[in-house]
Amino acid sequence: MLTVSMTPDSSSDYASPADAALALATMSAADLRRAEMLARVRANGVPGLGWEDLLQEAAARMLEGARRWPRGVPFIAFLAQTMRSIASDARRRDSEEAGLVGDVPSVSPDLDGELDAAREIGRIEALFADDPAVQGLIEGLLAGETALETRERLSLSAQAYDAARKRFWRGVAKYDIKSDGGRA
Amino acid sequence: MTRKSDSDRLDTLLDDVEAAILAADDAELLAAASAGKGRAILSAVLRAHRYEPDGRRAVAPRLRVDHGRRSSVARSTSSRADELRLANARFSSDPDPIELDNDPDRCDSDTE
Repeated sequence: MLTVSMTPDSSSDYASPADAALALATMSAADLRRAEMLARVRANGVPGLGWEDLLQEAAARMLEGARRWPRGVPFIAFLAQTMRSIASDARRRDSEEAGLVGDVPSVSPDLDGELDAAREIGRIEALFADDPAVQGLIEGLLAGETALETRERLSLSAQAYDAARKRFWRGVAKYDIKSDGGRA
Repeated sequence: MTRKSDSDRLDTLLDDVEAAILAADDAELLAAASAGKGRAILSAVLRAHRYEPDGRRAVAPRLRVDHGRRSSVARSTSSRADELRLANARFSSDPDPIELDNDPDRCDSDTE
């Protein structure tokens, strides 16, 4: 994976926006696919936010220097963290705006955000309605189980667990609520 | 133990998916999904921020000063001080060079 190189910046702890530009321009096909998947995954949790918008906004913030790339962090991990942060802010803003009645905050301004999150969890679970192993894996994640605890509870071999986890992330990464007639 | 909020629970699921995507083999990723518009999106953002598609910083248009005639584009993209400096450089052998911030009208009459 590409890690930060080399153009000196005012702070030695961060790469310059020019380094980020070079990294964006030279991402491998696999990392580009990662970026698209990650954008889709994060955007699905935010009403009204498309994955293309999220990827574009993350890149723009890097090039403007609003998000700085820490040296030693793989670029794709930095991009993932940037999109996560933007999506999280957008989700919070969305729920705050939904919590306003006129200019007056509602009694439970976070309620809409929680309802959106609950709906999104329900949609993810529904993707695997026919896959008991993935359902069990999701249950374990939400309960804070370790992989070993989940495997023991579900009586899954290591290989079966890995295969279920692969089906899980592939399914969520391919899932695009905005294209499925969802809420956005 | 307090129950996590649904937002936190959703983050837990998405964080796990993110970790799996970051850790997946390149070949596995390339097989898992077809290419989207990512490259085109990033190229557009790079262009909007004045970077070439290969990530190099685009060179700003350079002011060209021709003795006798200048384009309106050159005029609109250059400052008065730049014009004077370039004019001075061109007429460096002039026994009476143009002084910056001294006599701008004289610059116009000499260079046009």
